[in-house]
Formats: sequence, structure tokens, C-alpha cells
Amino acid sequence: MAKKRDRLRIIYDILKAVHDKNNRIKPTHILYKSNLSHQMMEEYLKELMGKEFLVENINGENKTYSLTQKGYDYLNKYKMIAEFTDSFGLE
Amino acid sequence: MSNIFVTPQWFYGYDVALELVFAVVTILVSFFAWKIFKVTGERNIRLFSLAFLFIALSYIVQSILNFVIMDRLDDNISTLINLQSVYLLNLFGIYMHSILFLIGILLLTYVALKIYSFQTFVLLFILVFTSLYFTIHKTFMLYLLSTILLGFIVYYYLTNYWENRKPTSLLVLSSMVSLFIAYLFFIFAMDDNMLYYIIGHILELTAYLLVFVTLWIILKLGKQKQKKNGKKAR
Repeated sequence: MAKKRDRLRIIYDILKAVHDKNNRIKPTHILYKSNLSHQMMEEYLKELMGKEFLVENINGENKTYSLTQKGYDYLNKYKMIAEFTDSFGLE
Repeated sequence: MSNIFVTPQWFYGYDVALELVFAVVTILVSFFAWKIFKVTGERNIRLFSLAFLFIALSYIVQSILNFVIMDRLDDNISTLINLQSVYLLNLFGIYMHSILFLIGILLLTYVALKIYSFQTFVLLFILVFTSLYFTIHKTFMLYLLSTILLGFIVYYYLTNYWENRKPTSLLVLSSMVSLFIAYLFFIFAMDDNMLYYIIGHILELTAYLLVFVTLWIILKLGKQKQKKNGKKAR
């Protein structure tokens, strides 16, 4: 399992990628932007949907992901979160 | 406080105020960590928040009981029954404070270990509380155990600073070193040394002020960056 700091950064990268694609992104784009293996990406997506940061939209054969309000909150507060976890050793 | 028998009389009241300050700072840390947990959902941040909550509770209990003791001593110092109740209250205060503080420190140690298994926590808990239960010198053991755990936490924050090299990491490290030294002084204050008790409190105050400054910097930096990024993210 990756270190916590990396985890928080990876989550940020995934959410940022969704945000930068006008809040609708295909899994292949996430794979490219987050620089993860397919298996790892699937695990993160599952976790992020479980934490309600992302929602899955299925339209026929197309699958996309969008940010939820919690996902936006994470993006907005990421710098403060990183500062806190770095300072108090919660990586 | 701790122990009314090693506390100089002029210090009564000051220690109650100081303990309230410690409680406020630790509650703030706990609250802020909880808010971050609500955003991230990370388990170690929740444990960290709980750790500081227990530490805050330990100071609240200590402060209230010390206030009651001070009040009773002022009221009727010559009554033997009153002195007995003061003694019992003092003892209860020491145990409650120390147990809550130890649970808080244990949780912090558990977070620092980064081994998230329930068995590890239970093992730590059993080791600490059985050694406490079977010792005759309970107060000494309570401070000794706290000091050992704080020593481990200091080492953890030293490696954390070594990896990050951030000013805020250095502040947290310094605060933990202050707290560690404060508890060393509390161990020696057991031998009726009033000066050690006061030095311990001053070091404790330094530790929590440093934590408060760290929190303030993080909030300030976070808000600045949030303003810059906020509109972009929407």
C-alpha cells in the first residue's frame, strides 16, 4: 500500500483530472492522468465512489465519472489538508 | 496538577488556568483534525482527532478537579474531614487525568506506528495499563509511561521533520520535545520538588503554544491557497 501522502496526492490528481475535463471523464483518461496501473486505478475509483467523491455515469456502453460536492470540497481544501498531514506526520 | 502536596500555594489558580489553556488548544487540534477527516475520510486522521480529544478531556477533568480542590482548601483548611476529601479528590484527579492522557498518547503512538491493526493497539493498551495496575507507585508510573510514549512520539516527529523539512513540522517537533521534557520534570516533581512542577507546567505551556501557532499557520496558509484555487475548482 502506498504511503498516505502519496494516497492523498493521488486522490487529488484523480479529482483534478475529472475537474479539468469539465467534470465528465472516461476511465481511460483517468488512467492516463493519474499515472496508475489499471488495477490501482480501479481500486482508487472504487474508494472514491465509496467516499462519495465521485459518481459513475453509465450511458449505453460509455462510462464516465463526475465530481460530487464532497469531491469539490476535497479539491478546494487539498492544500490545507496536505499542510496539516505533513506537519502532524499523518502521511 | 496533579499533586497538591508538591504545588506551591501561590501557584494554585495559575495551574487551573494553564490546564484550561491546554484543553482549549487540544480541543482546537481535535476539532480541526475531525474536519479534515470529514473531508478525506482517512482513518489515521480520525484516530489523531480522537487522541487529541482524550488529551483535551484529561486537561478539562484536571482543571475542574483542581479548581474544586482549591475552593475546598480555601473554605476550610483546618477541617480534617475536608482535608481527607481533598486528598481523595486529588487522587481521583490524578488518576482520571493520567488515564485519559495516557489513552490520548497511546492513540498518538498507534498513529505514529503506522501499523493499523486492532491487535497492536490492544497489545499497547494492555501493556500500559497492566504495568500501571500492578505498581505501588502509581503516579510515578503514570508519568513514566507518558514520558516513554512521548519519547517515541518525539522520535516519530523528528523523522517526520527530517523527511518534510517544513517550518510547521519543526514547530510540531519542538512542541513534542517540550512536552516530553515537561513530563520528565513531572517525574522528578514526585520527589516533593515544587520547582520541577512549575518548570513542567511552563514547558507544557510552551508545547501547546507551539501547537497553536502551527495550527494558526496551517489555517492561514490553507485559506490563502483556498481563495486562489476556490474559484478555479468550481
